[in-house]
Amino acid sequence: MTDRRLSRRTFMGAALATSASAVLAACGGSPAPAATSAPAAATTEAPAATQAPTSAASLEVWNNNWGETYNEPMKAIGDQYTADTGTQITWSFNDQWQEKLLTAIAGGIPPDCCYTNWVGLPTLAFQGVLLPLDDYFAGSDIKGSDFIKAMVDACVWEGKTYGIPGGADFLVIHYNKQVYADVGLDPEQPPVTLADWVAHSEQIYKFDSAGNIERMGMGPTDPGLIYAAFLFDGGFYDANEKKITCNQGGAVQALEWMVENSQRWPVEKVAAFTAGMPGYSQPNSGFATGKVTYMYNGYWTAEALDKYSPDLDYGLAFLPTLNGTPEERKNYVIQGWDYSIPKGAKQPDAAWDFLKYGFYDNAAALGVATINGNCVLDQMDEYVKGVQDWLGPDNRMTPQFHIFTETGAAGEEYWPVMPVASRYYDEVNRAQDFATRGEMTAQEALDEAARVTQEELDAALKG
Amino acid sequence: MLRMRPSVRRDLRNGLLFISPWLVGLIVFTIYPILASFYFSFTDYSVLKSPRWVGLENYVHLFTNDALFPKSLTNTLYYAAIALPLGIVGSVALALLLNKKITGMSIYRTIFYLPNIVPAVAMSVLWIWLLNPNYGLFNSILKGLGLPGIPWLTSPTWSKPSLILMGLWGIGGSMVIYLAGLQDIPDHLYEAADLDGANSWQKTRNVTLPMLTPTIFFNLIMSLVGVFSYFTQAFIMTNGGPIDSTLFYMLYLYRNAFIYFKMGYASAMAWILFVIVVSLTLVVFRSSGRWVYYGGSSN
Repeated sequence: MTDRRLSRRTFMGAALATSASAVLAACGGSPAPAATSAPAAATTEAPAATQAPTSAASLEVWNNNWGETYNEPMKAIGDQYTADTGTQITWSFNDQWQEKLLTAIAGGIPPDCCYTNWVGLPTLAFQGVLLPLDDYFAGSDIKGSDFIKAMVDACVWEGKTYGIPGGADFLVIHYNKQVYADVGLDPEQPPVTLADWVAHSEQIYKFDSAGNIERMGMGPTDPGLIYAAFLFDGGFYDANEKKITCNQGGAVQALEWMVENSQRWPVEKVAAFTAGMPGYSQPNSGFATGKVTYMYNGYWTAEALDKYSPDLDYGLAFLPTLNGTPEERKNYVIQGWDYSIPKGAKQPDAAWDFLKYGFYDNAAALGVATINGNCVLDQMDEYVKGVQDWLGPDNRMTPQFHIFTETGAAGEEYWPVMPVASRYYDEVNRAQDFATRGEMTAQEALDEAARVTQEELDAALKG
Repeated sequence: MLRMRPSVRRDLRNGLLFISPWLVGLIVFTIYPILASFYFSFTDYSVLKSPRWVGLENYVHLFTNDALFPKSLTNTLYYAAIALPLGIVGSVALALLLNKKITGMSIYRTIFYLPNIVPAVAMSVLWIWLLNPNYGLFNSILKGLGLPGIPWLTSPTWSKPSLILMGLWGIGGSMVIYLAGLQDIPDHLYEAADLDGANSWQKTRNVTLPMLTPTIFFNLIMSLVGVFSYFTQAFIMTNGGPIDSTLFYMLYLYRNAFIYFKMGYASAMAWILFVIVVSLTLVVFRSSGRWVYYGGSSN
């Protein structure tokens, strides 16, 4: 009979192997994709720019998770790239993209390229974990001026460019023409000034006998302090002095204006009215049902509006400004998402080749496919034609689509590029929340936001 | 130096080898992170850059210059002070009701336990709808009774009570443990009480509750840790709002660690929370001699 007893040596070996496997399995990351040709060395320095893009068997690309509607077109761009180059694109879509990226970079297993955005990019760039792309831009004869200015400026920290613009948000006012007609307003005359917007809303708001809202005009916090501050010629940051400026001038005036609005239409009542209301992409959204008269959004709304509300009579308008002049449209905020290459990425050259392919060479097609704003200026005509073809000639949005692109062309403002961009964004939103709910004055709330953020900024810059 | 016989030494070595997968896991994934976080709490550390020693700066800043730290702590204490006793009273009461010998009791017990197997994320989404001011079940009931609706999660006044109410939905987990405790109480104690002419309330007051105190003690300790690490529901349902009314300690800690990249600062917060929880646990342990009755003990 075979001796089936476990020898001491075998047992000890097995026990140690099990322990080691458990540790390694938990610590290890996914294997890096194999390169068919010698990939560029994983480097933390800017790579040589003039060399030909290195091909790779596959690239790992991480994106935010926007849901199937947007993820599928992103995958389609990847498929097209695979067909053209033979390089497989492995996508990973994740809601908590920043947390995932943080742990992956810290663990030394970053993806080849990754989604970032206007808040996340500066924070990551300051931490020194993104590869500067300037040499790649130069080596590809791509200039910053080829892109929408606000989008590319938002990728620049301390003179270096850390991202390539991917998709811009061209946000405009959607308004319900039927509601306008019902309350005696001219459906062809949307608000042009902020005062118009408030006046129209006062006519539109409808309350029941208990004082609860039955129909909304503009929201008391519309369009959000991040946007409104610039409309009042304010700003958030003095980059030269490294000074937080949200508690000065236009930003304070903007919040005071929002506080006035919230006294007309209390935030709590509006929150209760809109709570649980289906979003724009769902059937019976507040806008589609006429309960909410305005929607500040991008052209991607067309899909859901056509699908769920084919009879809705709506119009588009530029975001109202202080005086209603076209010149003030430079105060529009243009923001969106970008793509970066993390330091330590195994195949940075190949990653750049994909980014250039998707977000520069085919930017217009990508914009159309992903229903996002194109960022490459000389492809704007191609992009407009593509969107209009997608919408169709009879679509309600088609004749008004120029409002989106004109907004994109006019807007110059963006969230400041600074080391504590995420914290600042949260603090400004907290200030808005406290002031519009009557817990603080606009000045007090913004003073507090400025104090906290300035301390954080100073500490970050000192460190 | 302690000398062991070869057989004892061999047994010790073999024993350690048998538990080595767990032991290595404990050292690598628990003890090392605990010690590392203690070190990081004295550093400026973003995870992405090397830690820089700052001494007590994180702790000093938390206690003297961070308005959100006391706010998040107060929110958590508020939640703990109400949710904890309410949960214990609710689950004990439920266990007493479900300890009756009636037909179909196992079905009732299953029904009350069911919410515990619902993932926290799914439960949060469900409760967002139940608490919806316009379409939610609770306001529909209130309106049916002719009462005004409550703004629940959209109001800073009601947001925490809403989450406490939601927490009660999960008392079935503790209820099962109390049921086990109730069934462990010897029948002869009730028979003796019957002979003494005790009514139901007197039997509950003088037999059931004293005999159940070890189970209450256990649940209290476990719940104490749970309420101070309250996170998921607030993260999904309110994300700290409105106006920081549901910014719980763990949520603020998470933001510092993963959104603001201040892992050193978050580590300091974690250690402060650890001290608070350990202190409260010690107080409960110390006080247990006065109110926890172990059958068969001389007290």
